[in-house]
Amino acid sequence: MEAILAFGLLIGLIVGGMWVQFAVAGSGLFYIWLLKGTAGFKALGLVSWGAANSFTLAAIPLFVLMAEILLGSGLSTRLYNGVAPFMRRLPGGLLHTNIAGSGIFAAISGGSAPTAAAMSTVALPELTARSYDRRLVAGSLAAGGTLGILIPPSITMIIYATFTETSIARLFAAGLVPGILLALCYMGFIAFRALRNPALAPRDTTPMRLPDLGRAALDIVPFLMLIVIVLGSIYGGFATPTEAGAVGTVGAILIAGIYNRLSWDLLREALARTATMSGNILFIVFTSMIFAYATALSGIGEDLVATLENAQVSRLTFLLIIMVAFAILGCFMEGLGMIAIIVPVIFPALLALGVDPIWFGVFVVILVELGQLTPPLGVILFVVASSSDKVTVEDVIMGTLPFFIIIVSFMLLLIAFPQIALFLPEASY
Amino acid sequence: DDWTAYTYSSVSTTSAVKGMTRITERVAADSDLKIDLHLGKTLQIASSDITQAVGDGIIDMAADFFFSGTVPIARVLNLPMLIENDDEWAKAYAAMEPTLVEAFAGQGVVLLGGYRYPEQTIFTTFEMGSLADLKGHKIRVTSPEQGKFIEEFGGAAITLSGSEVPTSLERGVIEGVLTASAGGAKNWHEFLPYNYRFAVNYGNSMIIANADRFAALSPETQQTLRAIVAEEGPATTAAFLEDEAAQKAAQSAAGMTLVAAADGDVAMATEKLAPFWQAWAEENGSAYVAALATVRAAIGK
Amino acid sequence: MTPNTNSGPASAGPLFDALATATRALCAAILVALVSLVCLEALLRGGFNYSLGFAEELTGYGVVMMTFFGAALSLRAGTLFQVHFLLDRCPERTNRWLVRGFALVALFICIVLAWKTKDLMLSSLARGKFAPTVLRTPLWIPQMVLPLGFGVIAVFVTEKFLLTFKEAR
Ligand code: NA
Ligand code: NA
Repeated sequence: MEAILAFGLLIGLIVGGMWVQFAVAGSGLFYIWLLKGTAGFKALGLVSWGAANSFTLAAIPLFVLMAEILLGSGLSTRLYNGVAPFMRRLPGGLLHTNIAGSGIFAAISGGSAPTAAAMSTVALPELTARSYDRRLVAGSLAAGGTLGILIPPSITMIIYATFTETSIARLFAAGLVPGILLALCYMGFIAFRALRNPALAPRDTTPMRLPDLGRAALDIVPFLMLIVIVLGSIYGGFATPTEAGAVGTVGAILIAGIYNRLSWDLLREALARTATMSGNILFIVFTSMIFAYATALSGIGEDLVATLENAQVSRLTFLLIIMVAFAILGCFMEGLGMIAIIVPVIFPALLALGVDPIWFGVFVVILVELGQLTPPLGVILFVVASSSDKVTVEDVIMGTLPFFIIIVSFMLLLIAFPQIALFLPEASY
Repeated sequence: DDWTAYTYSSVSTTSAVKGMTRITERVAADSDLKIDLHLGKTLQIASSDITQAVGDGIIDMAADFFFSGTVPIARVLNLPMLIENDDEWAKAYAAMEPTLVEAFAGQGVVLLGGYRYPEQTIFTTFEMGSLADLKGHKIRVTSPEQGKFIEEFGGAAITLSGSEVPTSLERGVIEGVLTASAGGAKNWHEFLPYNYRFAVNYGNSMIIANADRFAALSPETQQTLRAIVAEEGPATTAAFLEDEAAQKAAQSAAGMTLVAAADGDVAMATEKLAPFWQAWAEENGSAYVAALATVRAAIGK
Repeated sequence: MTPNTNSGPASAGPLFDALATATRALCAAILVALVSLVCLEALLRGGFNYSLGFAEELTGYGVVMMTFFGAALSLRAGTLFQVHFLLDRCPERTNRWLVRGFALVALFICIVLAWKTKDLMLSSLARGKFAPTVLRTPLWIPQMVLPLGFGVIAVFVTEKFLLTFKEAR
């Protein structure tokens, strides 16, 4: 009952137009008050401290700053100019770079929010300026963000592994093929949409000669240098996934310097924009943790699972119900909180039903991702929306909807063919 | 009464959580006290804030492992090389107990009991035959005291967020960790081909309750709770020792090379670290010097 | 809401502008410090087998500061997440009253959170609690950021509230 009231208030406030962070914090406080009265508020100090004081969250401002420097220095425009001629014949054109770029970022960063934030900062302005359909652009960026925790490294997988004591190496291996397949599904959908309605992705039809292609390829070089620096620092054992954001920022400054694009104005502007954007994202993560605290306190997750366990259902029904449960909780909870509440309780039941824990890890990671794409509290939706003033949250939601359906279908595929996830870890270990 | 309990551990199958679950179940059966146990990370309260959370009455009861910032004097039991085996631990803890009870009371907390993890040994990505092999290698530590140990043997003590440890081991950002086979190594063993079975130190967890909430219980319930914790604490320690043996066997079967501590390494390391214990105590004040003296007298070191 | 013609968001007075400038400068400094610290740690560790031992700790504090001071800037700039669907369809007068209501609720939330985090800071101070790291930072110092941060956010919420009257005239 309390959950329904709190959730109702949350939806009401967000749809009514209140600042989303305050809507979340306000209904979180209301939820705590319903459960424990004003005495419950004394936890707010420690919960606030625990929610905000986090090393891994540093990836968000660091990667955003890197992206802002690329954008402000014009290096990202140059990159898109360079890539565009090679994507001319592909239906959907530069939209595919959103997916491919997210995939590359996913191999660098351990989370979805940094992946989506960095990619959107660069891609949204560039692609809307080239008159691509802004909803399709936003949707592909939000969907691309999902690759962030599916393609290793992945903080979410590490958290799942600590809760279930499963192998992190196998989980990482298990996420790779589904990650790539999902990316291909996204690209297939983009091509399909672009073929049906060419206006969504304008095609460049000017004739192109070999020297032009050569010059275009040269424009990709600075970006390749950055990728080499950042991926090299991670795979060379120099930096952790969170630290890669700082290495990338320094790399972006160096490259902007090499190409003579560096100025104090650029840095000042990049810092100011990064402060605003990452403050916005970090603050919503913060407030959703207050809401997650209330949800955990209420024991609603445990109740849900207990009902499920007693229902004596088949393996397939069980998995489908879990999908629904995550979808419901995902509407008003932050991802790691969902894993913490659901996974330890259902884990014994899963093993009893013969569900492979590695496979289920991949399944849960995709579910968490779905939760970050569902309104009213989908963090990734807001991250994408915040990177450009030309795109509203409503645009992102509408643009993400088809990708949401793709992801759900992909999960059903994963249930039907568990080998998609399990093939690689079984082959390599 | 209805209590909220919390544990730093997020794994429902670990001996630590099983022990806490047994406590809540037995207390519910034997008294009028009902305890809801929440697992680590679910309540958004950091593990290192648990003592404060119990003291401030945000949670009523907890298993508390990361108390060193609030009750630092308890760290004396975790100093590297000071306590070397189960027997010494038992003696040292018994001698320290009155000091600990008083220190936790100063935080508004009743110390009901506790349990202990098996010895923390050295897990590495490179082969180790003796402590001298630590030289030049990057080892992740979880306290400045462990850092002192690593540096004493020429290693580099690295601090790193726990969530970054697996990836960092895989790629060589760090080359080893200090943990128990039944602790962190359970998660990270596949990135750690070598285990040098050298006991650096022990880690322990306190079972604590908010002082006011505890005082509000009826004397019978207080007694029941104390008695159950007094039984289940040691039972948890025993379960951990059993798990340690099982994990060692499993990790060895999975291809990990376990190497026994080299002859003379323990004596040599103890001698090297002994001045550090004293320096550590003096740096912290007279209460620490007294606590260290108590422990050393109890174990005859 | 339409921003002023010249650069910067709508302002309710020079005091608010000054606070915003100071917050912006602070955020920039924190970001520079974060990048330098994290890179330095990676460099020392990878190149010289040395760890500062406090990079993780200080980075966490940096994130706390970015969360609240950055959010305050975002609120002022009018970029804090908002669903405009309904607001845009309301008559201007209703819209103004809605914003006033939201601002008052947000102000209340800020005050509650500032109050409770202030209590936390005092509790840490009274307990003598410190970070169990090489720095042994007394935790009330970084925790002071929480009530301060909510305070700054509250000031800008108040500004949004005042601006609804300015626009009405
Ligand atoms: Na990733
Ligand atoms: Na959501």
